[in-house]
Amino acid sequence: MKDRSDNLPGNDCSTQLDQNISRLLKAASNSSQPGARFTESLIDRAVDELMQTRAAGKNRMSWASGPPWLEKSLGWAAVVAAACSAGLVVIASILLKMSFLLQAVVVSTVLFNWFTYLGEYIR
Amino acid sequence: MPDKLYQERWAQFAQGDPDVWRELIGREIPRLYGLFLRSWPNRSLAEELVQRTVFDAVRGRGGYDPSKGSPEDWIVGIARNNIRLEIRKRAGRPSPNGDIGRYFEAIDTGPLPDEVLEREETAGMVRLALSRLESKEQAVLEAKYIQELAAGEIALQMGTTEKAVHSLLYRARLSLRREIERLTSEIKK
Repeated sequence: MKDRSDNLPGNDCSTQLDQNISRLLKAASNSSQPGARFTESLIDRAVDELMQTRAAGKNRMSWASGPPWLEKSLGWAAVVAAACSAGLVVIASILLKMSFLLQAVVVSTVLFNWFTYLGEYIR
Repeated sequence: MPDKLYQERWAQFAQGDPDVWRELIGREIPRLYGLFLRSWPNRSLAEELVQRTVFDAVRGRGGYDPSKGSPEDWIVGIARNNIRLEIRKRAGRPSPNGDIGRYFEAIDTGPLPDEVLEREETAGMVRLALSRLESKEQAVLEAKYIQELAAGEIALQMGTTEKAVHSLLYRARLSLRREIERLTSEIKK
């Protein structure tokens, strides 16, 4: 997790001896405070990650909270799509002479999948 | 600071305001570091746990509820959870006992166990080994591993080139390793 690229070239950092020596020297040090470099670098990386997750969240939200007409049209499109697929399944199951229980299971599965998909998309 | 201001600040934290986070993390890092050091006298582990706690907080910030308390208490809660996880992890592995010299023999092939680093005799031995190195070697090791300076900065500080710093570091690491080996064999005898 820790970024060590600012310290030495990759081949130096990656050796086990290097890592163990770093840990041993820290063990022998008397300081009870974290190093300034460590603190600065950790703050920068944490804030960077925070900004990235915020930006990703904003992008998703701006899509979901776009113009009101878009949300309304999408809602209606979702209802129509779910109804059409349920109707299609009912017709197909009648034509294939499926039992009522099987029809109910298939229709509810289709509806459930549609709502889950659309719900996730809009969220 | 009046309560209202606190509430505002906590709400900004919950919303992920970068300035509020920067200030809060900066203030909390030394506190968390101290908390972990009190649990285990191991600076590398303390750094690792501080990092883990800070990133857990960033990634789980949606779970912070300002009505339940301050962000500081929430972060300390995450840190305590990481301490519990570390205790559980340690309980599941054998603790090194007896002669620790064998761990130092494998210093360049595997990570030294945390329990070895936490022993007082390890710290004493490293200090002694370090004192036996040339002053330039001691300085370069301290600059790189304690002050965590980049090679360019060490070069500036020592009035030399980056290339020279790399080769000095290489030599210093080998010298330290040799001294540690010598000390462990002296202890064995």
